[in-house]
Amino acid sequence: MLLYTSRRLIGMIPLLLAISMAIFGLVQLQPGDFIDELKLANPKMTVDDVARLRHDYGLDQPWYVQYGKWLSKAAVLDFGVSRENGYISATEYVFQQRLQNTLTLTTMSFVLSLLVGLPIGIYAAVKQYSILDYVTTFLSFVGYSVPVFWLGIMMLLLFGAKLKWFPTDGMQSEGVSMTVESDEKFDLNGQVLSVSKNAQGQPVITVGVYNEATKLEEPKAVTLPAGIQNYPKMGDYVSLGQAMGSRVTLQSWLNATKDALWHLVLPVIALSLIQIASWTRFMRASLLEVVNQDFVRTARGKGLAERVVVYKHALRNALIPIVTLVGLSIPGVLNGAVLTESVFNWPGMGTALLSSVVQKDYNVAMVILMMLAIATLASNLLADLVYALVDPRIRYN
Amino acid sequence: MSLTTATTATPAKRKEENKTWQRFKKHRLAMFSLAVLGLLFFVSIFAPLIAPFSPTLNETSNTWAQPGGRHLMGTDDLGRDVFSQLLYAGRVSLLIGVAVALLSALIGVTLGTIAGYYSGQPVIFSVGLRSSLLAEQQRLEGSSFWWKNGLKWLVWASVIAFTLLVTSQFAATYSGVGVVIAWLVGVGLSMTIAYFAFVQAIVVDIDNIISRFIDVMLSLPQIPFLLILSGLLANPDVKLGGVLDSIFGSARPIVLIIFVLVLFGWLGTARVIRGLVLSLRQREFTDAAKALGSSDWRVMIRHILPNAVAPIIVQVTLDVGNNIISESALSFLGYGIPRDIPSWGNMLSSAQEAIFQNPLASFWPGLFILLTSLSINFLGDGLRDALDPRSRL
Repeated sequence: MLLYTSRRLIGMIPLLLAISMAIFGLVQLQPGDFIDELKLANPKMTVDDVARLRHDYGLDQPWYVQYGKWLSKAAVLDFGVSRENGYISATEYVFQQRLQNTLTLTTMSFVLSLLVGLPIGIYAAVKQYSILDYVTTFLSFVGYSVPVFWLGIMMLLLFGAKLKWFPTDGMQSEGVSMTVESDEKFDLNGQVLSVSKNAQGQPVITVGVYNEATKLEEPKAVTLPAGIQNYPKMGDYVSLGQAMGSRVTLQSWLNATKDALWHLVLPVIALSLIQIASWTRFMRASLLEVVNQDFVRTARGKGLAERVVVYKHALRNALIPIVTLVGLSIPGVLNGAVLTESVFNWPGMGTALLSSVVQKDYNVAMVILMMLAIATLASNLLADLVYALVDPRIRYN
Repeated sequence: MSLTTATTATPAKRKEENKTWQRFKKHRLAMFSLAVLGLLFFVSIFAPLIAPFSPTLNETSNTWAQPGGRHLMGTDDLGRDVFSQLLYAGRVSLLIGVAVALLSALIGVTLGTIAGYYSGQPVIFSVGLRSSLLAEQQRLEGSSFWWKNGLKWLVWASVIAFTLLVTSQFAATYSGVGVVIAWLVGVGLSMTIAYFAFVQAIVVDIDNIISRFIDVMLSLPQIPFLLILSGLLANPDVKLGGVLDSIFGSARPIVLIIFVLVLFGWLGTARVIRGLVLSLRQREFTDAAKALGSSDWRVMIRHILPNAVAPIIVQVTLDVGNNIISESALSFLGYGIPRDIPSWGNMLSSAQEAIFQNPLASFWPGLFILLTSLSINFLGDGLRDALDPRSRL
């Protein structure tokens, strides 16, 4: 097993190189580059300036030469900066600001769709040809025929605009935040000279206070209470009565969480309805296939209760293909979120990818696409390994 | 599909077809879907006769008109009649759905059949002078061996020349150690290719390559890639785009989106057909055909493919629905058909910008997409039951 895993992992390296090359080529050949954007923003730029900038950034070289340069930097995990997001590193932008939002949305809808879809599928298979079976079959057809973006828009219209039950865009209402201003106030005026932490982990800031008598600035240390956030940085000015920072209180945390959940409801439901449809169908088909096999007949024949036959003997075997499908569909979940995110204006990776392509901020697009490719390969491997764990007949050697 | 008509219809065959039709008729939802689809195709094809307005007629003083009155479903952001646009958009969406499904089937069936048929039988791409295969190949191919293999050598020589060219361009952009490394890698690669092409042999398992390629393509996140691809082909600087422009003119966006969707569309079909051919080539009739001296191509086309027609038909049908959804998704994100050619996807996209002023404008295009793809899925389901009653799902 270990040998198999390591062989698969090593095999991924050339595959990833090939995929990264294809992605880089595709992204580099997109219409326009960021110099065009600069030119639009600055009408004084001459043709010579543009040519010089292109040369300086190496954009006049063929894509495979640029790929070599990108790769030599990517090998040490330097994926460049995001020009449209304050020149922070592209990886920092994607992983710290965007990935979490997409993961929240997709994991919630993925779990919800499994929790709803699998039981319905099992029930439909157990009660084959019942009215409920026909209804779920019909609905699951509708579920995977419906375009997710249209479903999203319709839900927005009905529950967001018309009934006003849920917010219509983004993931946080204006003015709601995790933290509130702290009650502790500064009792001095001056500029922050340095910030450090004491032994207890409390932040200590040194403020230069102007002394009228000596006409000099005297450093004065202020120890801030523990748990405080967003306190003044070096170089900031603090004044009398100013809040020392902000902190998370139970009330503010509850408010922000409630608000976030409120924003999650519509996108999660839109994204999961379609998945529920396919899980129902997969589960039903898989269970029906197992139910007609000999060992189930044997179990019935030896007089086991129907409940035991179905849930212990049949269901366990029917779940094997489902487990693989779950593994294989994890990257697909990330992928489908592009549409849902753009409908609900969700600040996740899908919208980041779209806007980075539109704004020609290609470093971000590269990070996202590479991450998706790696996630896909990893989950394929994971699915194979889990398959072996679930089904003792499979051995990798 | 011409394969079925090529075989002469014997009475027994006609009876079988009758049975299939009987089974299909029993599937009420599929029959109903067939009627809905027929209606959709009819109104789309005869859109110029049915539509009350031209889809491009702008009534700029009458934007976002409410439904009813002169405009059955109101007007859009530029004052164009929504109902007329829906009909014309149906032409585009259905055309793309059907064209992509047929092209994907063509590629998928060809590659899937080749992969399945030649699975486990490697194909020789070049025989070198010191290779152990040399004598056997010479014996097998006789006098044509030298010029055939000479051609292959020429191709490999040009591959090596290209590798060296790329290396020199790489080296020119670096300085110091970088130059040395670039040349070492480039020359090393060329020498490896040369060794296998001219001294040893290059033998490749086609099935392995096609299957691995399908695996990799299927593992890529599709929507982001389709986005990037259609952006790429829309780039006037890319030569392919220019060529397309000169051939197709104003229909270019449609051809483009067909091309992009086919790129991913054939994978599923190829995989299904490969599996099918793998089992069909083990059957007695294949052995019989081979024993009678049929060539590989004849066995594939006359004996194996006609037995795979039923799954191909089902696959093509279901693909049409998926393609319509993919097209509308791309157009919805602004990377598909531009707004001057109405399609259900881009109508939805522009209606979304005004959902609160005119909610119904975004309802209709989506409903048409849903109706089409739902009917196609039911139709495919009915066809599967009718053509292959043993299969479940």
